[in-house]
Amino acid sequence: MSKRKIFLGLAILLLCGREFGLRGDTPKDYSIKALMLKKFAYYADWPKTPDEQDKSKPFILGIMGDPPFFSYLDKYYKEKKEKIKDKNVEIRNISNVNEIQDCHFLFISEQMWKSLPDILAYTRSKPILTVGNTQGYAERGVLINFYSEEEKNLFEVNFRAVRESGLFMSSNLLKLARLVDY
Amino acid sequence: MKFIMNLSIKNKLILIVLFVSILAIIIGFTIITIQDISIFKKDLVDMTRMNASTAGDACSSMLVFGAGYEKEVNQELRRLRGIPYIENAYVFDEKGDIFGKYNRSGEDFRPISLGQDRLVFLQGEYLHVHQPIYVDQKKIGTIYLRASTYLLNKKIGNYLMTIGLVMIAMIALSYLLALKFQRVISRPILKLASVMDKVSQQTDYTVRVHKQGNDEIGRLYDGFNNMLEQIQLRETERDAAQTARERLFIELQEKNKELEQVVYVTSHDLRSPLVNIQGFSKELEYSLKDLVDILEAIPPKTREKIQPILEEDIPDSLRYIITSAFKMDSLLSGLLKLSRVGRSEVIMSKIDMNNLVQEVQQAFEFQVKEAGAEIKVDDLPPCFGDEPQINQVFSNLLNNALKYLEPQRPGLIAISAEKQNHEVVYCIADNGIGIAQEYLQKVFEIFHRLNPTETGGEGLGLTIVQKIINRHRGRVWAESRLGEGSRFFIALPAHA
Repeated sequence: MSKRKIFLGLAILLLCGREFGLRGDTPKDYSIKALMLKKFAYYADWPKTPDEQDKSKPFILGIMGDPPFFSYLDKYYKEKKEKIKDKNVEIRNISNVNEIQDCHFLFISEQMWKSLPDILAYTRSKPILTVGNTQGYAERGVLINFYSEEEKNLFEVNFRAVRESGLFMSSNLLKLARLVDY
Repeated sequence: MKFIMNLSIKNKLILIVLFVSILAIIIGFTIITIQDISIFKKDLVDMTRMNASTAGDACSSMLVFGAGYEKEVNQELRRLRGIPYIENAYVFDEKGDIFGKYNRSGEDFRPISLGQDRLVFLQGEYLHVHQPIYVDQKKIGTIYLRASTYLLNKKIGNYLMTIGLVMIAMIALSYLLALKFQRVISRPILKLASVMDKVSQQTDYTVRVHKQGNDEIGRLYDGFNNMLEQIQLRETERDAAQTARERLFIELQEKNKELEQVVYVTSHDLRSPLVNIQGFSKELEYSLKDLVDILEAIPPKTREKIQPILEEDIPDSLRYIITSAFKMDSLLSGLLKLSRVGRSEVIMSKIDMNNLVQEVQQAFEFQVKEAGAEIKVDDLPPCFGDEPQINQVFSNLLNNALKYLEPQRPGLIAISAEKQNHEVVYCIADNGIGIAQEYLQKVFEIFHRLNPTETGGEGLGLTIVQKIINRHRGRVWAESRLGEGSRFFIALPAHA
């Protein structure tokens, strides 16, 4: 794919975002978010169920309330064919709580602030790594919430929620995180 | 090697045990030391690599989340402070730029061989370890550690010193043990040697060695005891034989003395009655002459009857009595002479033989002249002996030579001598009638005469010669050819 096409794609996403009246995320922000999600995946392990060990089954990344980010990721993984945990990556745009079930990752955007309790009620005690980038999300029960400070990408982890989820999270990740509610 | 051969068995055993022990200790400890030192080095390498892995892993998330986490990396690396031999630690990011560092001394250090993925090498006093950092099978950076070998060398030094001390202690222990246990072998041998010394110095064959075991030394003891027994047995037998011989010798001496006494007494005492017989025979002869003179006055008839008795029978008988008495007297005087030779003391001195032979020659001057013989005397070396007795020997021999000359040819007597080792052999040779081989030994026998009717004498001359020479511990022998002459040899000691 030529650089021009990428720019075109990014321009469309930018326009769409603005059209949806979002907080004004730039393509750089999306790429940072996408990179962070990928890095978190290095340090998290899901319970070794038969489905989980079956490498032909995809690694599912659910996006709630951020269609431009969904589009960005979907396109990115379809083009790059990058794998996470040695599995093909499938990006799902989640609009209903019932669609969350198979997800490994669940990115919850700021738009979902109100319906967050319902989402968390569903994901609680399930090996679904919920990620957000909205201040206060971690305290409310989202497993990882990232934020920027002085151009440094930082993140916080709700350790209690991590423990309840049954996920294994590496100490290497935890030692860089600001831990909340533990 | 001769030095070792001259060492005592005890020292030889100690030396051998010590040599073997030292060799074994040195070889053993050298192998152990080489192994241990290589393990120490490997340990340092392994530990440094493990520390690199641990620190690299600890820094991995910081590398993953990138810029802004340098401080955390430095903090993480500073934990290596607790490992005394790690001097420097550097973390490089994917591009090879320094991401974090730790220097024990505080001074910056320029890591060598950058860009190497996996490299471990020892250079000078430092061990350099490069190790890549992976996350999710992807290399995200590199960690480099530099470890000082100072502590390793110190540890090796201490180890070598300990090994050295242990080796010295073990060698000392080996020496003590060798000293103690060599006795098992050396003591019985030394005991045997001391018993042997006792036997050879004191010639005491009654001692025995008591064996401890049935090993080779035990067998040696048995053999030694057996040998001593044999020697003792032979010694006893020899002593018994010696005693018997001495007893016999004494008995023989006594018998000899007795015999000589008998000869002496007989020859001496028998002479008195013989003198009477001779004297009264003469008296009878004179009486008979008187009777013959008286016979003239007796009537012719009676005279005719008595005359043959008085003039033939009685004088004949008297002549036989007188001749026999004279012969007996001569024999007795010979016996007495022989007996005196046996009883007289031998006084040894150096004899000038030229002088002695000249004296003898002078004594025989008349007989020599009468026989018309010629005597030739060589220069004679001196010898040791009793001068009057040796004079007697030469007189007897010269007398014999003159007596048995062949009347048909001019007599020739030669006296010569030859020095042989420790004795001088004198020879008196004549060209007389000679002696037949079968009589050559008999001539020395007592009263033996070759021609009793033709020559005078008692047949004692050569017997006396032999007796005197025997008493001088010399030798006498004769060589002869019948009709050609005889040679008598006398061997006498040349020195005192």
